[in-house]
Amino acid sequence: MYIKTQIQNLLAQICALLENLVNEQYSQPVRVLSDATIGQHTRHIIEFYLELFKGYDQGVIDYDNRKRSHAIESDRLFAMQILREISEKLAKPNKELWLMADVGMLEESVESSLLRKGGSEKARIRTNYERELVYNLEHTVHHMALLRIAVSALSDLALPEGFGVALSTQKFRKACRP
Amino acid sequence: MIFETVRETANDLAEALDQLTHSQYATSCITLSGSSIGQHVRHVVELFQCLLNGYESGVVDYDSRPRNQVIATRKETALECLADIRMSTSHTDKSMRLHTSFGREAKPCVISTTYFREILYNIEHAIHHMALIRIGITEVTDIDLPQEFGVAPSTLKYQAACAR
Repeated sequence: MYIKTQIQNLLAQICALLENLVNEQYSQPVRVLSDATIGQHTRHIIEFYLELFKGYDQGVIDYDNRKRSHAIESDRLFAMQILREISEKLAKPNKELWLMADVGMLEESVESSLLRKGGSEKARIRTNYERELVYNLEHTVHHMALLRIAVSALSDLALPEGFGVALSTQKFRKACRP
Repeated sequence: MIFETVRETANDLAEALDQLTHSQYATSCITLSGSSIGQHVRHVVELFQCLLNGYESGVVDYDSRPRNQVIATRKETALECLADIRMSTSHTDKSMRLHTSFGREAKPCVISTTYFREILYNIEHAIHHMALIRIGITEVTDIDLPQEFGVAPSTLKYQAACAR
């Protein structure tokens, strides 16, 4: 499955970045990112995969349930370890899944799609593991674009050209080059 | 309701665009690696259009977007497109196929999905790019954007819960 390889490639790029940072940079607020840190964006990327894996086992994914782990956002080496673990766990057979979404009701008439949770209504949307892998792939690229901004604000580190750029955009740029 | 969220998101974006001058809309931003606010708006708009155009046939292919220069450079056109999206997303759910191509693979992967999943994806995609648009707006203007602009609803909830 090519999606899996792509994700592994991205996670390895993030690991390589983290390897080249010092802890101080990892947890330093970046003004241009509304004071978010590289660690927080890394943690955010990671926790979506963790919720996907949990959802895979349970049949229902709820990305809003993520833990916002302090350890991941403050400890660079711990984050790298989890990134590697995720890479190893990606290969699974496709499976139909539900996705909980915080957008209120889908339609007035949808009967079984409603669950009450903490007083707020969440919609239950049909999805599957492969679709969620593609989602996570793009989610990762998007946050890598923000990581790129943070890195250029904090350090002189040169990132690979494709870091945080979607594959379709890389292809498009290549095609446009004379 | 999911379509209400689409409308709110499109409204927030349109309200921000209303405050920009034409040159601010189309100018390249250093903090966005040289891309313009208009290019990010176009991207948000075109993904929605890909989904809406694919509803009938049941096939959605975000990679085939046209990258329309006019949306990226003419604010009025972008606003018209956003108004259009607000009006035309409300359909019943159905199974769809998502075409997506990766790297060197010539043939696109075909992944099964649903209309509602793709609407949700588009909402989040829009919010993510609004976070980037926010960075661009901060660079080229003095506009004070609402605090929630470009922030996911789940994050807003979490922040509110923490502040309590």
